[in-house]
Amino acid sequence: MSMSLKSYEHCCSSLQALATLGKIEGVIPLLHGPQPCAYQTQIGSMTCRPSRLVTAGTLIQKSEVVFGGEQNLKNQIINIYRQYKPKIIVIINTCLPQLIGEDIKGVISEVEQEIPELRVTYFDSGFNFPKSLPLGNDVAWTTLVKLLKPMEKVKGSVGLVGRSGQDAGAFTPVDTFLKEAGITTFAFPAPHLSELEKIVQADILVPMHVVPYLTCKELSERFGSRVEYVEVPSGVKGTSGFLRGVADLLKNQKLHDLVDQEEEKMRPRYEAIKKRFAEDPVKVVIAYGPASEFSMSKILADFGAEVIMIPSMKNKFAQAEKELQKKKYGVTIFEDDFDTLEDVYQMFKPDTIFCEVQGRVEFIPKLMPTFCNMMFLTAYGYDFALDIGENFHMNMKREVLVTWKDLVKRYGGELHA
Amino acid sequence: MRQLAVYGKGGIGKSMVSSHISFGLANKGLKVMHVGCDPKHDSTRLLLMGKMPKTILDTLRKKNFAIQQVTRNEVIFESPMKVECGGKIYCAESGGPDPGLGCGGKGVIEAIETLQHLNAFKELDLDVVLYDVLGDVVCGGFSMPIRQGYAEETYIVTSGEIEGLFAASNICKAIARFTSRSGSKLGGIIGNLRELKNEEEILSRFAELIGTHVVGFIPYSEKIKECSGKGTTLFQLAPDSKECDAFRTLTDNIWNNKEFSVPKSINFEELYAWWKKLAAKNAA
Repeated sequence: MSMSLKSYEHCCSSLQALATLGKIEGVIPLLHGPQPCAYQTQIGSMTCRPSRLVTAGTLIQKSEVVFGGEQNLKNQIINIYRQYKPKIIVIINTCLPQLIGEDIKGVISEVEQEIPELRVTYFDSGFNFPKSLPLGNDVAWTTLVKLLKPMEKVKGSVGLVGRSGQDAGAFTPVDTFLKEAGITTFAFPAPHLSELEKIVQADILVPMHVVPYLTCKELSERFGSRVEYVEVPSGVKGTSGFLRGVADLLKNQKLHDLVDQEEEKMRPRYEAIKKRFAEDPVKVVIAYGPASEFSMSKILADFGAEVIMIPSMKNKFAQAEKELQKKKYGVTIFEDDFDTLEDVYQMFKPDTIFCEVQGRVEFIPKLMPTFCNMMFLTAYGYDFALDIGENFHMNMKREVLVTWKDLVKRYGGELHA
Repeated sequence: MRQLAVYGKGGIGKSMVSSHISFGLANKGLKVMHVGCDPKHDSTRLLLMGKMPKTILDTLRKKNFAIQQVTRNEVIFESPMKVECGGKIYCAESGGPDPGLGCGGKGVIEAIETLQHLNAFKELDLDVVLYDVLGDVVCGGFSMPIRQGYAEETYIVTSGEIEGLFAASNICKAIARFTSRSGSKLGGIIGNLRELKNEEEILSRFAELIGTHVVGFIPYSEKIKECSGKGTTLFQLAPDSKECDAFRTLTDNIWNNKEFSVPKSINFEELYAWWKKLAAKNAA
């Protein structure tokens, strides 16, 4: 495979794993690798929603490559424990220590003998999970799940499994309906370890996003929970589809009724948005994510936009969601290789692009309206979708584009908005 | 200045042979540097009267790998042995990690780069640099002496045993790979005999097979083993012995060698079939 930096498909999982684990109270990720890995992941994790985020790194030097970095790793684990007293430290083991054959398990075993109350685990990033940044979430969660202990199951309960650390506490727009319908729910991730570990009590696991495939698999295999993929609960139709899917799984009529009521309540806003999209059609390319492209594409396609989505994940949930979005929402899935986003632009000539920061640089000279599709967009539920829909056209034609028109022309740019 | 590399199967006697080559060359009045490229750092022991020197990598480690802070006297040591005709022997050991830790190959790269950085070869006005490299060419680091053109000529130490020959064939693969980049070629085979029947014939035929020649045979001898225990070379222990003469001949042949080749490597099955046939013929 040649390396074209087309999307998160070609990124390292370390970044997202670091950002994801750092969001959980009681968990500290420790990046075992050289300075460039640490820098890249720290910078990346800083772009996530700011919150309490303690991350650490061993910053392997040349000396440790030659003589071994196990002692450094052990020292760092002990330092972190002394300073922050976490319950769990997750070592993100990068390519370099893998190459020189560091005995991470041996170090963990030594530390756990010295500090019995501390749990330490690790996963190999880099070469082992090189191709996808959102995969870092999934691998990080899976690593954490390996440390969870069995608890008694709650019959008829639902475990909502999300994608990244940013999802901790973000399920409310969906969870509220389930609770109101009398369904016991558990959330993974949750902002605190003591909450998060209750996910093992869930009877049925329902992924909230396409990302946590390995996490659900691990939870299912270790704790016997049934996994049922419904769909990503984003957009009006998507949220209803998700809630009705859960209602069918549990044969819960009350949840169906609640969805009926909610749909009725929001119908005027929903119809108005669809009307606006019909009057002023929009063609959107949704590139990059990480994985947010799956939720954003649904929201906009639901309102009537023509959507071309470039998916960043290929696991079984992603396959299911892609099929669903093609059939139910008419989304075009674009999975061919390309060198730059400009190539995709030339192919589809969209009115706007959704992508992450780096991708936008290509469109600055064109003054192409672009949206930053970062993972801190909490895309779940009805309200977020309605807000996006009502403000979408206004955002597409912000005054700044017009104001800068002459200046941009002077410097060779062209205005598309 | 000529740069030589000595490779061969682990335990075949590379350090013993190369220490004698270094001494033999110095005895001709040449200025020789002997560089041990093995984390065990025992290649120069016989040249330093049984002492293990401080290694380049230990020095680098103390200075946090700040290469510019390393001085020549910290990593290069002159042999106290009396050498004829004004020759000199300088010794350096790459060193490396403790067994089971880190990356020895990367260590060799760093050590050789340190010697280059010190400009030691020019400043000491050396005639010969000899690299004694650990066992097989297991990774990029251990190919460093031939990979980047430091050593223009490589010699392989082997006995007539199949394991030694197979290791030699593998080393040929590395030499052939790097020849086009670095120009490094095979100078020949050094037969370190183990008292096999017709061992010299096996080695000569093997050399032909891979496209080279034998530059010398070292007889199997208790006297040579004594050197190791006493931390010295035959040039001090038994200068008039036939074994010491064998080393003198070997040194002369290497110094006068003009036959360098890009060797062929042979896979194990083919080599084993060839070796068995020859061994059976010899037995008959």
